[in-house]
Amino acid sequence: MGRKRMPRVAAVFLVAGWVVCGRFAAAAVTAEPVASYVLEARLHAKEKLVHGRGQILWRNATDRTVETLQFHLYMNAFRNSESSFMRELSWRGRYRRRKPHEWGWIELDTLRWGSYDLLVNARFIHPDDDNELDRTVLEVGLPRPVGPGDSVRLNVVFRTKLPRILARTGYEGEDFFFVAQWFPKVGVLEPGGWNCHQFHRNSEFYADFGTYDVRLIVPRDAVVGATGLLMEEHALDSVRVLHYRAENVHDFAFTASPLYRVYTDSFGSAEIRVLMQKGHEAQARRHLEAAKTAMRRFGEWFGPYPYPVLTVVDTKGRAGGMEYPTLITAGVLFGPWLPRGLRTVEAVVFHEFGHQYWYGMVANNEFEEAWLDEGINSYCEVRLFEEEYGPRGNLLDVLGQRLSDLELQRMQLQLIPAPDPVLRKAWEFVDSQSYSVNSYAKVAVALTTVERLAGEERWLAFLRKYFERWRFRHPHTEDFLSLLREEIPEPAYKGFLRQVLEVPGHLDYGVERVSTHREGKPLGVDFDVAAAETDSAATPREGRSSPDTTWYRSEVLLRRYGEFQLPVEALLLFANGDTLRFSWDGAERWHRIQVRHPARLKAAVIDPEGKIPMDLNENNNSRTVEPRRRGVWKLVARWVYWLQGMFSLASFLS
Amino acid sequence: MVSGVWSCYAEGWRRVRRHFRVVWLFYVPGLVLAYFASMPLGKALQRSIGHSLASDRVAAELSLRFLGDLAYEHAGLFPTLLALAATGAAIYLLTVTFLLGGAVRSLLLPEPRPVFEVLSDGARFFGCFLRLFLISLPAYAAAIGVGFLVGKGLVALFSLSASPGAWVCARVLAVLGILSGLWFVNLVFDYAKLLAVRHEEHRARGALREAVGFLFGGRFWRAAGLYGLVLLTGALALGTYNLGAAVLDGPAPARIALLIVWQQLFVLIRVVVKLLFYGAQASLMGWAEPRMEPVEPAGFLA
Ligand SMILES: [Zn+2]
Repeated sequence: MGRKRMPRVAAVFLVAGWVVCGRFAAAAVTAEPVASYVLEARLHAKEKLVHGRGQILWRNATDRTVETLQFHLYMNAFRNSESSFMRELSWRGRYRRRKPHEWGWIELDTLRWGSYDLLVNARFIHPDDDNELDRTVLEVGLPRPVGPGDSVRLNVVFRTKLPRILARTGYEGEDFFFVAQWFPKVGVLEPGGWNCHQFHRNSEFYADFGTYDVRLIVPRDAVVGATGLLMEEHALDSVRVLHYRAENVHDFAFTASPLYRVYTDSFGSAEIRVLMQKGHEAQARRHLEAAKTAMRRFGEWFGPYPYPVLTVVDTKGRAGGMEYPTLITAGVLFGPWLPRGLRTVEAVVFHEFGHQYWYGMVANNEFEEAWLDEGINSYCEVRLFEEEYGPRGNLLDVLGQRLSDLELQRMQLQLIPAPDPVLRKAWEFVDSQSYSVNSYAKVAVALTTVERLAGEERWLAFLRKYFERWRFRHPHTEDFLSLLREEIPEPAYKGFLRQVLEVPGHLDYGVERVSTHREGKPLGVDFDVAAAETDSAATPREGRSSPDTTWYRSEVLLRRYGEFQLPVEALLLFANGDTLRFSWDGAERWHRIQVRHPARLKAAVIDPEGKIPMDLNENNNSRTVEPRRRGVWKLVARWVYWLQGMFSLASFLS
Repeated sequence: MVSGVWSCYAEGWRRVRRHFRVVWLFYVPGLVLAYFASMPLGKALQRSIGHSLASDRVAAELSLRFLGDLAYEHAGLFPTLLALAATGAAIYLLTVTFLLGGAVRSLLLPEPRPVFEVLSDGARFFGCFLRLFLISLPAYAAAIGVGFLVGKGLVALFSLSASPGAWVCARVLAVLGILSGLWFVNLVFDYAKLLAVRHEEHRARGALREAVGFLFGGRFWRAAGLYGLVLLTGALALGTYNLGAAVLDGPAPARIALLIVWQQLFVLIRVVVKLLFYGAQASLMGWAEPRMEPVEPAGFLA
């Protein structure tokens, strides 16, 4: 009824508002280009070489004037055994046996600013360690300073020798190429100076947004997948030329192999391409469906996928499970016989697609704060699995064995030693296990915990706001936490998250002791038997009662076994069906509950709704007054039975 | 020939029934060893869920999540359990090697024999059987190796054609190849034991030679058929067990008790099937060589 009578003025305002907001929104959802590239790259399949040339357009978006530029030359990490990457890898004795032609490198043949040759004044620097031999960061002196808002246009010619697949880039066999981190890439100029780290074993990347306009020249029979939209392609003698363009991105990767089978579909306005390896055709549909599912869910949560295309690559060798703008890699287990109930395809596609949001658009510094993309993205992956397949067995549901994605993340926390805090530079973790448990699993489980405690709607609204505020920008940990404080004011959650980020540790609450006994008559000096029977001190303090009610005194001791603190709830269950609920701020190491109630205590349960997956031991979350042996018996009997089977199998040999 | 195999199979059953105390001799050590090897688990579970509502959940379903919690709470429990399991298996293997001589000799004889005689026979043949076991190890390894290589060749051959069906076929064939290699080695060595006892041959190599001679003296298919029949019996028992276990699975204490009985019953049946094999093959030897001391059907029904 209100719609028809809507005053004209209001309508005009609405339209005007829509136009303004629309413009504003349109302005807000594109990146301010800082580092753009126009490149031509020719892939020489036989030599495993990429010849590249083109222009880099870089703009100083800070308030400071710079006299140098810094470039990532990531490929030089695979140059020899003495790069920081290889040293970090080879302490464990691996990759020592690389054949001479399997190494990779990048050589800059030309780097000019106008007529000025920047290579004259260039040197390799190593801001993260004292490795003089590392050549993954190049600093060049500029002939004149570049002030705030100024731009430089550089001409570049380079050669990139691809390694045999390492850190998900390179070649495998004669006809599979996955080409990532292959061109000289400008570091990120921050208010405090250049942020351009060396390439490390555990680190991923960090770059500014821009436009990539890339012409690829590949063998004629190659099927290609690349960042961005294919603008045109044509064949020329023995090669094919493909022109790709990508806006609002901060990297460009491509793959080429004649063995790919291509499958396509679409979601909204985005085209989905899946490139499958030979023999994996049976799983093409699963890849497409998984990509569409992820697009739908992320669209609902944070806003639609803004790029025109998504390419999913089923890679060969160790190139799988990685994200690049509009291009993600997966990998197939068990050939064509992956059971439907084992959702590894979905897991990889969900995760890598999620990176289009957390890394692709919200582009944190992965060298320094990997949790901001890996952790938040792993949390989204957990959430996606729960929404799509339910909370139980959503990752694995085969032959009665069930496991959810959340449980898998939790198991990593339980079983893999990770003695670092989450907030640590990627190469400063004790090992790659600690890096990944901290950056992925710990954050995923912690954020799921906060989601359940703070309420799903409120939490999701916060996350969406964070996404919108930091889309096409570079957020830091404090940006996340300060917005969290604004949106979800309870200090406990922020305090909890801060602990998770800053302290190596675990969360484990439990019920340590329970006891219950019938209240006796008061005894001792001040009581004689006759007085006690009518003494007002013996009058019940709580609950329903009649003069002949039998009272029980029950005591429950709650414990905090782990380092992390979180408010928890405890539920007391009584023999007559009564329940009593208590809260504890969880700060001290223990908390005692004493209750006088007209029934025996049966059990006490901490976190009765199971809202705290971060609690790594659920077995101690409840304690019963009477023994509870059936599980013990059943499991021991089963183990005995299995052992007998194993023995009998061994005696097959005798 | 078929009727021969069948009557040997039936005769095998009768012999196992007659010498049922031997079944206990195999069953009890396994149970005792398994019990001891599971004690750390019992202790850990008692501590973790002996007073916990989690006990009910575990009784209803053994989840991977629970195992994660258990491993987290008791670091080192699982490696300990595996080490104990391996030790138990080694001890049981030696025990069975020791008992087998006596068992086979019993199954060759018509009358039930006192336990100490079974044990002393076992002791007499222990050295020979142990040598046979040691010789069998490289033979098994060779069977796996050959099967693996053949399988690899098959897979390479089949993967020339692109169809996923061929790919699966090749893999299935490869696995079947390895299995039949293992089966063949097992059959030869089992016959070596039977013949060692029957002919009082205490030299392992002599027994092996005899086994090969016997098997390839025209009786191979009968022996193989009997083996297959026994295997089928085992599979049938396993199927029945699984069916019953599925029915009995549940958190109620009565069900748990019944399940434990059912499990142990199946373990017992497994021993029976193992001895059935020797009994049936022993009877095949008697059937094939009527001139040897006749195995009398007279006393069966006593
Ligand atoms: Zn990731």
